[in-house]
Amino acid sequence: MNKLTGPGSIFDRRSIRFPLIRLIVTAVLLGMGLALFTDAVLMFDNVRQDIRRTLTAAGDAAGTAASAAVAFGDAKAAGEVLRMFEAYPEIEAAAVYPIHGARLASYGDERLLPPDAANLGPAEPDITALASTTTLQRPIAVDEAQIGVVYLRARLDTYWRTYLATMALTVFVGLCAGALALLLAMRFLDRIILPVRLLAEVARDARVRQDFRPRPIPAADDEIGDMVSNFNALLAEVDAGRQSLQSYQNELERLVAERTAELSAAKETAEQANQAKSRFLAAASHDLRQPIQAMRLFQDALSKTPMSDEQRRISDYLARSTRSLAEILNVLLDVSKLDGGMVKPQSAPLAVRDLLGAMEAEFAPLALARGLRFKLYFPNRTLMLRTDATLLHGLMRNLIDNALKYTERGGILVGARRRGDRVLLQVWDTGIGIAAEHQSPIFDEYFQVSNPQRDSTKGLGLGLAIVKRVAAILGGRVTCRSRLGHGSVFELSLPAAATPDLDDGLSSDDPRALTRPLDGLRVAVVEDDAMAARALEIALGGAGIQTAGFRTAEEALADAHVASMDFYIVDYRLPDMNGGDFLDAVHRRAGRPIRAVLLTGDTFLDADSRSRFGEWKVLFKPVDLEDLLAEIRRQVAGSSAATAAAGDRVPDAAGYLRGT
Amino acid sequence: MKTGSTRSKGFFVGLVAAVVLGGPLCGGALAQARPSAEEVRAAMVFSFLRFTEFPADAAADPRRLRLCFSVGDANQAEALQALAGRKLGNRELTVVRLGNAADDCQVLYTDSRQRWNAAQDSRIGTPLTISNYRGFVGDGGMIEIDMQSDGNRFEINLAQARQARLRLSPQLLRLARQVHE
Repeated sequence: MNKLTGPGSIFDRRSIRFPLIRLIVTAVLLGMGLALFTDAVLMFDNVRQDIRRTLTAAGDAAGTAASAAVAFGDAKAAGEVLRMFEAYPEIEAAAVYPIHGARLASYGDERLLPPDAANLGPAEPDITALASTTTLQRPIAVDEAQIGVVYLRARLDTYWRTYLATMALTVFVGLCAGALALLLAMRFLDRIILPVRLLAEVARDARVRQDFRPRPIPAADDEIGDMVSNFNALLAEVDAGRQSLQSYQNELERLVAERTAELSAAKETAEQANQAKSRFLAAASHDLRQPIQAMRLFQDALSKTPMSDEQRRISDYLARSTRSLAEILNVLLDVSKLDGGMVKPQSAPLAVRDLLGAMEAEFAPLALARGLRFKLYFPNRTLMLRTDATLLHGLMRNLIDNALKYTERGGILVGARRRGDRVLLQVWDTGIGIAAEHQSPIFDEYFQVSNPQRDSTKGLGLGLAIVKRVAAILGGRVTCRSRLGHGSVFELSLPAAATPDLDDGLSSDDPRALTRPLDGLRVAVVEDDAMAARALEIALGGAGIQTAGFRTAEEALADAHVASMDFYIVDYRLPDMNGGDFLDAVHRRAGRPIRAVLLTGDTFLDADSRSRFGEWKVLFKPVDLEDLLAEIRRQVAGSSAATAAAGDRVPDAAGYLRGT
Repeated sequence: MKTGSTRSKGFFVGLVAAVVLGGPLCGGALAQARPSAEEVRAAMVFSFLRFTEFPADAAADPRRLRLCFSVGDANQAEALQALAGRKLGNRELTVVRLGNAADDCQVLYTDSRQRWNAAQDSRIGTPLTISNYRGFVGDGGMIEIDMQSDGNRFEINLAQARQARLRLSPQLLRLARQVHE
């Protein structure tokens, strides 16, 4: 944008001056033209009337003076009368005629005069514009009776010269007046345009430079002056508004910073509280599981001793109570972990066939025992999921366990089918069904349709609440459809995997290994909790296993025979080092693959903690004796089949989320 | 500067007759025959009346102007009779022979001293008197027509006219060969 400086040229088409000047010039020219034209017409008419009046007066005077001469036919007297026209230079010829008679007397050039009254032409003078001559005849009358005619012939050059000279002068004066008006108009325009241009510059400065300070603009005390003063007032208001806005903005930024600091502090506090909660949960997890673990092992050991029937019954009650306590603890801790966002899915391809096979292996015997059918349905072709296998297994266990719990007759059908780029997993049952009004609340915590007495043997009502949370973590959503008295179906949709992963690294268990005798097996038990250690030694001893107990890693490593043991059961959280590091040390000392399990009561573990387990098999306290023995048998059988394989170290993704 | 050329006597006679008697008659007269001296004299009498303003009480009837003549020539009498009925402004001219109504003539035309004297003896009290005999203005007449001379062809006795409260037009006076004050 060009900067406008000064009043500007009248030829600057961008300036308002140009159209205004054009308007003024046009108006002046039009006005002048109209005035001059009118003046020319009026002057012309005046000249015509003047000519007519002059000639008529002269003719009438001559006629009056010559009337007696005409009446008496006195040509001499008439001729003397006509000599009065010497006072009229424009009259070049004149004559007196008796009425209808021949010329009585003449004046001037006789050749210009008709010989008699019959050929005089028009009575009124024919005065056309710039005509060189005209003629006039006036009657000579006495007592209202015409007795003759005075005929005049006049040259009009003088009149027209005067007329044209007057017109030229008028045009000249008009042009001078127009020029003067134009000059005055331009001076007047400067009074308007200059302030307007300065206003435009100030407005542009305000917009471009954000400079809203009022500026002195010269203007008269008129509408322009009002506009300038109002504009400056507006600038001042805008400036004040901007400063106020800036002040508000600064205050707002200060408040935001303050609130951010407060929020940061609150977040830090919350994180500290969360860490405290985590530490509490970890402590609770570890400290509660230790005695429970001991209780279960003692109970197992006790059950293998000779007891009376009454003692046996009490022991069974004790076992059930202990198991229930452990399950309740696990469920509560699972909910805490899920709500705390501590569970991160680790997606990997999973064959649906393997998933459903595992479910069948686990639940088909239970269904059969209750007189129910257990069926699988899935397409023959390989259907793959991309999900966290451990979490999904737990979720499916919950659903199937629920289905078994509420089905008295009929059966369970677990199916899978492809739905676009997802896989739909379904658990059908022919159970009691769920009323429509309960189909949404069943996913709430502690909601149980048929357990108003809160019988803990029927569960805590947390199974579906955990299912809902796990499904969300896996990127799906569990829905329920049901007809009361006919059965229910729970569905879960998960992303399908593109390529099948045929080797999941988990070889199926060798059924023969599960029954392998463990007599004489030498097992090192490294456990700092005396009660837990004692319970393990008693329980393992009952199975014919020879145990060597150590309270610390240092004590174990100090033993000369520790590297030659057949199996190691090691508490993860030892006072001097963690169990994983201890096993690594033993492995290095032995110079061969070793078989071992890590026991831990810490269920509240993040990925970092889980990574520290290394590749050692981990079992979570409380551990059933049978589970522990099965693991020992599995590893011993595996190592005998492939002693040299590195796979003797049982890889595991830590299936710590168990079914409830 | 040129002036009007001197016209012949015949032309003058025709012109006066044309002016007085009107276009058709005059045009026809000019084309076919010149007017007679009697007709010219009658026309001059009528012209004198045109340039003469009579007192308001000159006539009993303001709408009429009576011309009385006392002539011996029948042609002259006929020519004067021909003026009867002509208009002078809003007044109509009547022409009568002297003797029928001698007490109400505004104009008297006579052609001889004898008849002029006789008229004076009858004391008709005529305001305007006109005659064509030589010496008329000397005998107390007002306008004397002289057809024999060129140029101005009548004399006026202005003193007599003023005495009779007549107002003669200056233009008429300008044309007179001689004006007697």
